[in-house]
Amino acid sequence: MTAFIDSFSTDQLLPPWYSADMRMWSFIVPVDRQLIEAHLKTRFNEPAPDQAPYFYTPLPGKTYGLLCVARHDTFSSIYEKKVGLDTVSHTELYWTFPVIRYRVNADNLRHDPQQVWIQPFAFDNSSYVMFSAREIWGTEMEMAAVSMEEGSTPGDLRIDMAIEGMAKFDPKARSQSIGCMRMGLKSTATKADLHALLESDDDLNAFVDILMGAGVFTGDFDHAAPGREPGMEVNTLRQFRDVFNMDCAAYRAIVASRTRHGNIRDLAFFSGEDTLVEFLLSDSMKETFQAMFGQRACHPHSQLPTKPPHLGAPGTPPTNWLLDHMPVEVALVISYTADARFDIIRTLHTYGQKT
Amino acid sequence: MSTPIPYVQSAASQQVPPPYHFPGVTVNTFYFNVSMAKVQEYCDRYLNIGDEKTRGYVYRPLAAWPYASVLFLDYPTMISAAPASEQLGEVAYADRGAISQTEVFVAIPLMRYGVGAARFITDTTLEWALPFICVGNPMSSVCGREMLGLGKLLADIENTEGKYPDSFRGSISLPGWPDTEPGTKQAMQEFLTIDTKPVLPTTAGTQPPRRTMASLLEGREAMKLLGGVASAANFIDSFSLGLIPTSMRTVGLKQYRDAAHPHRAVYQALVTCRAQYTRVRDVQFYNERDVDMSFNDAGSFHQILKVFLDVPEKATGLPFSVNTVAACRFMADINFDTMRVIREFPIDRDGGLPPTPGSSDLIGRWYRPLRGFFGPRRGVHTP
Repeated sequence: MTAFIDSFSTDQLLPPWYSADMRMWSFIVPVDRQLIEAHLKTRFNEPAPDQAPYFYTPLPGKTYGLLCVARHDTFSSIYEKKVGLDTVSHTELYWTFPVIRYRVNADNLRHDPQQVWIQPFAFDNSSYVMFSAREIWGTEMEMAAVSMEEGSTPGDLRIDMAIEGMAKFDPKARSQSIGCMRMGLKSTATKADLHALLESDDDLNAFVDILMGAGVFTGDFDHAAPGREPGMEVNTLRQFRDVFNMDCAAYRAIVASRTRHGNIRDLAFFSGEDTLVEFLLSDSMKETFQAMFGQRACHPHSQLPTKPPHLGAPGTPPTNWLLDHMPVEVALVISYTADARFDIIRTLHTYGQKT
Repeated sequence: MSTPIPYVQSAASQQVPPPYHFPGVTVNTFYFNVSMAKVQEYCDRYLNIGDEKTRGYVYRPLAAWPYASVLFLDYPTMISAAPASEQLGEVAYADRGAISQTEVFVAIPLMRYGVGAARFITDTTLEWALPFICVGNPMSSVCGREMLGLGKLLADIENTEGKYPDSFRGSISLPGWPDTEPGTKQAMQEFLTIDTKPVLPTTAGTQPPRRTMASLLEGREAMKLLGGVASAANFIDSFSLGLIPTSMRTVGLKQYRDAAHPHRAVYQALVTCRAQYTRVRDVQFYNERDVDMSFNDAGSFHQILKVFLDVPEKATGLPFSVNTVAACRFMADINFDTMRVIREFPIDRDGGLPPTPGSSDLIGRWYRPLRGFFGPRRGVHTP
């Protein structure tokens, strides 16, 4: 065994992780099947240069994903029962969707289909969490400033996020705090009747069944539907760019991890029609958002009535929100409080390994 | 691991390819005594990995220079100078614009000695370890950590003028735990503060300045000499045998964890990079007797300090003051380039697979242009 040589700079929150009283807002967003296929092709299905013994396809039927914002007030590493120097507070935002992963045998036949989740992008406001996510299980998480405010009524919900980036690519451009995403519920929003919403939409009903099967908002840490593992298995492309050739990776692998939610409480549903979700199209983020949500009509300003906050460092120029705002359609919103546990399962495939 | 593996590019990728160009950087440098035993401990843990005979080198502290330096750098413009790739399919990194940031690191000179008579001559070279480094820009921290073997932490860095005109005040706040008690949450805390009086000559502070290299160079004769030399950088390089950083070749341990078994490495290599300081100008010195440098020896920060300072065995929770032996500031253009993997360590694998092959490229920089005359390139696929 080749030992990893620890230092203070790499000793960040080793998994598994446990989050107590996680506050979660999940926005169910319809997503184009072809965009999912394109993502799976470049990240998982193409040879690099060897072929991973897996093949990923979108789920049958109408395809949805989850845009999740989770505030973790007490988030701890429980690696080897570590005690002390292990707890942080942070807020994360990620986009994830379910797919089918097949095993591929030596005869190139696909078998053993299994539902797993893919996480194309993620943001976090803690550098320790970002380093852990990027360096251990491979999510290309970006550092962000996230403001998440919940008031006395659902209509008070406001989530604003900014990153350090480029509004416009230009040799003379300077990086700055740029708006990235805005979310909120309309002032008239009230809790919705889930059954009534699902009765009129079979596709959404099927997706909610998937979520319930995965225990996303009905979860129990150790119990699952018959024949299924508890929680959601997430597959991630873990890659590090080579310093000598920017088109190559020094290391590339597919990593499997598992998220489980338990002790669910404060569960509430809201109609997608009462929701506003807007992505801001800077040159730094446009490709990422359009790759997932397609090219849509944009507004020059936010449709949310409240002004966006300053999310840059103190003393820096105001966050630039003067970008095209791309709204996305939301089918359903789920909010709840839960405890969550995150484990790495294993590295499914490492590319470029000579036998 | 020699088969080219494609990297999946996206415009949002934080892994910005080198080389990098940084014009107009302001550098404030503070030298302090460092324990040779601490430096050797650092070398043995992070650089002298594996059997000496197999790896073919040994890092040792530079006995003639028992100093470490803290450098505060203010980069108004950082540009990726990576040439556009045909496969990129996006705006070239060099055409995207510039970022700015502040950076602080501790630098310690080391000698890498080749093992054996021949290698002692051809492979021995001066390199710099950076046992602590932090930056204010997230993208810079990602590039350093994931591509360059530099363990950059993300920090809030203050880099400004102090109470007096032409003085300096620097401070770093880092995420840290105030104590080691279970359940204590991480918070941003002050890690280091430095305050100076104005640059010399000044009537503020201790009079007269102590006569060290700093005060010596402030003298009229030395300034005349500096003015007569075409490049201050060249002068400093010659004068100090490369110890004032005009061309630092940094060395760092770049490694990736096994995702499911984080105590195991799936990649481990020593990486060197050149930080070349050009157009060094406006060199000015502080009176080292009037520099107040203090680290916060509390909670998790103790783990950082014990790497390069002789702190007590346990955290005191008190400021830890460090005596400065010299201090100066200057401006320079910096190129960060010429990355080399000088030693890739073999990695044990499961499933009956043999370890990945290691490799070495340890030739000293002075011998590198000449080696073609004296035989084939060596070191590929060494165990």
